[in-house]
Formats: sequence, C-alpha cells, structure tokens
Amino acid sequence: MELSARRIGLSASAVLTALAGLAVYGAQVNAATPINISFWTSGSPAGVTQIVSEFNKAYAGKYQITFRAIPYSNETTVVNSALTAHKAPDIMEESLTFSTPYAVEGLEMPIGPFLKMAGINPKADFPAPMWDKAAVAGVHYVAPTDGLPTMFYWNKAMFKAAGLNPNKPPRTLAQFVADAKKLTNAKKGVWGYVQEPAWPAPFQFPSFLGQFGGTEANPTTKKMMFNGPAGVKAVQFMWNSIYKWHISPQNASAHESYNLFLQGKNAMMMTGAYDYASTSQKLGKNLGFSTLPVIGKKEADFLGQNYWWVFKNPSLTPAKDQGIADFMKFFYTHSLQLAKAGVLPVWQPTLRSAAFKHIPGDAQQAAALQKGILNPLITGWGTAGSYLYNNIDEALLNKMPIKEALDKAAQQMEQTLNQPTA
Amino acid sequence: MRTAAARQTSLRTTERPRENWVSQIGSFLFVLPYLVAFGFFLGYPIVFGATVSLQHWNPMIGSGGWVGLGQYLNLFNPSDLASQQFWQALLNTLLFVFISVPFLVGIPLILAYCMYLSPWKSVFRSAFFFPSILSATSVMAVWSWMLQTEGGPINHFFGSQIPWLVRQPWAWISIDLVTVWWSMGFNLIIIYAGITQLPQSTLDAASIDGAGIIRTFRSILVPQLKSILSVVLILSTIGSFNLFAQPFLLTGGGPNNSTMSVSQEIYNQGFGLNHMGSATAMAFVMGILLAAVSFVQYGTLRERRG
Repeated sequence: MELSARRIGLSASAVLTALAGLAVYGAQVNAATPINISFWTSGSPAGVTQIVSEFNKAYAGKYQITFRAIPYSNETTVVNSALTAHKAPDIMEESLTFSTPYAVEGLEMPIGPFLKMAGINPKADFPAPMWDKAAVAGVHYVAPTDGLPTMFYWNKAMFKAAGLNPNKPPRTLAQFVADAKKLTNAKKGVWGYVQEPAWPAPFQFPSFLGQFGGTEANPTTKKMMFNGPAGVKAVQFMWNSIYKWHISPQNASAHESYNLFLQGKNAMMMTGAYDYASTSQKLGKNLGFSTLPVIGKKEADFLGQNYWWVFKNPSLTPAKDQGIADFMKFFYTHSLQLAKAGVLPVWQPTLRSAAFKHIPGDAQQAAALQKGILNPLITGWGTAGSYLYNNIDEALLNKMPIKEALDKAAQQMEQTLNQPTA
Repeated sequence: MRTAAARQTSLRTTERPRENWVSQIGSFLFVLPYLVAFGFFLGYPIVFGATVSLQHWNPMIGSGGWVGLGQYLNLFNPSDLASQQFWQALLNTLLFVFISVPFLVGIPLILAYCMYLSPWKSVFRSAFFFPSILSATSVMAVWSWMLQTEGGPINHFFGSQIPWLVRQPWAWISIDLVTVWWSMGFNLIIIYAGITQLPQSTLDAASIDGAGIIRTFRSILVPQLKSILSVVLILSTIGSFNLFAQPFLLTGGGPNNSTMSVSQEIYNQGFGLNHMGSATAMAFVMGILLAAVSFVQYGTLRERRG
C-alpha cells in the first residue's frame, strides 16, 4: 500500500510537472509568435532590406516584416492581381501616381492615424512639397519614403576647356544660354546642352512649368492647366535650345543627353538624380551637381518619389496597426541607411544630420526636395501623360506649333481622364 | 455445339463494346490532364475574358455592371479617343506585319540554304540562333543605345545622323531591323531542319542536270519546303501581330504614337487606365482578326499545295 501510495504520489507529481512544463512552453510559443506584416515595394530595395532585417531583429517575437521587392515594370499587374485574390500586402510602396487609384477606390487606409501612433508629425518631419500636395480629396492616404529630384549636371573639365569657371555653374536663363553657346562646337559634335524630344521630358517639363509658375492640372476638376502661358514658355525654352540658340542637336534620341554627357560631348544636362551614381563614377571630380538653374521665374524641380500606404486588409487589428506604425517610425529613423545605399531619404531629421551631409551628392538633392513639385493625383495620370509627351515631342521635332501641341494634349488627356472606368 | 458456339459469339459481342468502352476511357484518361490544363489555363480565361468584355470592369474592384456589347460598339465610335487609338494601333501593327513577315521568312530561308551549303554549319547555326535566346529587355537596351542619333555606334560608323528612333520612317525601319535580328534564328532553325530532310537524290539529280545554286533554290528547295514555310509564315504572322516589347522599349510607341502596337494599347487600357472591359474587347477583336488572317493564310497555302 505504501509503495502504491508512493507510486501514486510520484505519478501525480510527474503529471503536474509535465502539465506545468506544457503550460510554460505554450506561453512561450504564444509569446514567440510574432505579428506578421507584409511589405512590398516596387522601388529600390537598396537599404530597405537592411532596415527590415534590423527591425525584425529588434522586434523578434513581436513583429515580423515579410518583405518583397516587385519589379517596377509590371507593378500594377502584380498589385492588382494580389488585390483581386485578397492577398494584397499590408504596406505597399510605389511611386505616388500609382497610389492614387487605390485611394480613389477606397482601398487605402488614411495614413494620419498610423503616423500619429508612430509619433510622426508629417508637417515637420517631411519636406513640405512632399506632404502638402499628396492628399486625395483632402485626405492623406500616403506618406513619402524617398525622393528623386530633377538635378543639374555639368562637366567641369568641359567648362574649364571653354574658358568658363567650372565651380560657377549657370543659375539663370541668360547665364545658361551664354555658357551653353561657349561650350557648343556643333562641327565637332560637342554640345552645351542636349534637349531630347523624348525622355527625360517627363522630369524636365513639369520642372520648367513649375519654374514659370504653372501647374499641370487641377486634381479636383481634372482640368488640364499645362497648356497655359507657363506651359508654352516651358516648351519654348526646350524648343529654343534646339532651333533658336543651336546649343542642342536636333533629333536627339531618348536619354541621349546622358550618353553624350558620359562621352564628354555634352556639357550640361537636366534630368533625374538617378544618373548621379554613374556620372559620378565616370567623371569623378569633374562632375558638377546642383539644383536646377532658374530657367523661369523661381526655383522648382519635379520630384520622382516613392510613397507608402496601408491597404484596407481584413487582417488589420489594433496590434497590427501598432506594428505598422512602429515599423514606419523605425524605417524613418534608420533612413540614413537608405542614403548610404544611394537612395534619397525624406525624413527631415536624417536630411539635417551631419552624417547625411557628408554623403556626396545628397546635400544638393536634399535642397532640391524643398523646392520639389509632384504630378497631380489623378487616376491614370501616368498612362494619359503619354499624350502630353507625344505632343511635346511633336513640338520639339518642329512638326507642330507649341501652343497647338499643348492644347491638343490637354484635350486628349481631359477626355481620357474623365472617362468612367470602363 | 451450335448452342455453345452461339453463346460464345454472343459473349464476344457483349464483351466487345465493354472492351471498346474500357479502351476509350483509358484513352480519355491519357488526354484528361491536358484537357484539365486546357480548360483551366485557356478555356476559363477565354470565357472569363468574354464576360469581362461585356461589363465595366475595374481590375482593382471587379465588375461595375453589365454593358452588353457596349465596349465593342464603342470601338467603332470615331469620336472616342480609345477607339481612335485602337484603330491607329491596329493599322500600325498591320503595317509592321506586312513589312516584317516577308523578312522573317525570306531571310532565314536564304540563310538556311547558305548554311546548308556551308562547311561551318554548326558555327552559323549557333551564331544565328543566339539572339533568339536573349531577353527582350537586354536586346532592346543594347539596340536603343546603338541606334542613338548623335552618339550611337551605327551613325558613328556610317558618319551619318539618321534619327533612327525619333522620326519616321526610320522608327519602323529600326523596329523591323531589330525584330529580324532578334527573332529570325528560330525560323532559320526550322527551315534548316526542313532542308536537311529533303531527299539528297533530288538535289543530286538537279546538280547532274546542270542546275546551279539559285535554280536549285528556286525550283527544288522552295517548292519542297512549302509546308514548312507555311507553318513558319503563320507563326511569324501571329508573332508579329503580338508586337509589344520592341516599340515599347525602343521608341515608347512614338513618334506621336506611330509605332504604338495593339498589344501595347490593350495593356495601357487595361493596366494603365484600369479600363479592363474596353481592353478585353480590344483583345477579342484582335484575336478574331488574327484567327481570320491565319485561316486565310493556311487555306491559301493548302490550296497551292493542292
């Protein structure tokens, strides 16, 4: 009896120990199951992967970011397919133009509450042009993640050879034309500036338009406004550089200014900051890089960019919302890593930091962000914009008067953008 | 005995249909995986696409209501910009088909014959086929650099300033040139395989009768390769109708949409402007047109083969 009582006692204590162990293990498992947050980007994954990895380490067991970089070329197809299959990511990062249809269709969460949870003050923490003009019907659905301003590049060696001060680039239209004329030797195929009818016109035209005080369109009424006097002056500058001042060749192919710039046959170019790394590598100390000269009345430059937003997924919970907010804050406060990877951050504290200012080319780009302008937030702007650039091409190929080209583009775009989704 | 024989005969006759039935089921089972794949990947998308073309359809949120044949009728509304774009793109594509297909069949035919006569067959075969394995993006990136007006190597080599990608007719010439260079290797291999299958005795007899290379090519090779050439012709026509990457990456559809293809216009409508109903209607019209062209081509060639 004694034996059996001891056995019973031992068995009971073994069972109790096992149950306690299971309970502890269960609690550990629960604690170790993190909230999964999916994050897709069609932007550059440079720097982002490292930030995500550090976040996952810092919040191990609490949150897990599943990161996926999707190809820029067919981002719409991928994201729309995911939406149709109810497998959209929690956070999506794309350029601003692509975000608009999702906001208009009510598929995005307002971003304000997430920023508030993260303790982010968007008016103070982002460059004003990137926040103020990024609302759809007065509501902010997106927040900027990186920027890509239109910049001015010049070849210092060519400036020196032409008897110009290589450290004093043109800042006004008159200086620009005068310098370009000195730099041009058409017989030898050397140009002061190369104005293509095609790319990078989508970076140049909105910049010049903004400089002359114009805007592309009214997002509320979907009325095109680029065909006003400012738009005509903007295209007139581009046309003059080819046919009046003869500082640019005729019939230049898309992105030819860049190739000729690398070959030392083009002294100045105005295009997106995406060419900084390669031109800097090729020209080294002979590369000059700054904000655009003032061709019009004031400083302005078109901003390429990426924004992110939160899709209205059924899986969102208050805990997940907090995780998203925590990740956003972590991303912004670690955005120096983006700069080190060659991507321009938009978090003002990072832009003001000494470490950031030491990265070559970034201080100039940060200055450009503060004068940046964005495309209007109208669904289909990216595709319908081809009408605008086709007609500008026609004007720059001298096949159509400038005003007529812009009016035709405005009429075509208004018809396209005001069509109901069919 | 008679009764037993009759019973056996009756057994055989009742077994035969069962055997046939079992045999048919067996055959059907072999075909079943293909039928499932066909239904899932082709049948369902066609039916689904047809229903989408009869509706307002936004790819982000789905159906916006039935419109019957509205999307198709809209394609024939001359005041509608999408309709104008579609017909211009269709004309552009037809122009490309008419220019490119003769080159895509003719040049590989001539080259295949030269290759057949050459002692370095395998070298040429690899060299001509090589471009076909390259991705569209890399091919177009290289050619868009080579064809630049000011700094491109081709203009530099000829000492010219031809606006290859910027003005017409050069833009079409460039697209055709690149297309032929990029995709003729596949046709060349098919035609070359056909030449190697021709009876050597016929070629020898022609040689003994004094036929030269050109006469042999014209009077023996081409007639005997007609069935292969008809396949190559139809495949090239279908491939040319599906033109997308070359203008998209070389000219961006320009100048002034003059190289915009139907496929690109359908893509822009569906994924750029989210007009999926209109895009699928365009795709069906193009599909019907393509089927008709292929049918006529095949019928004509079959008649000629007699």
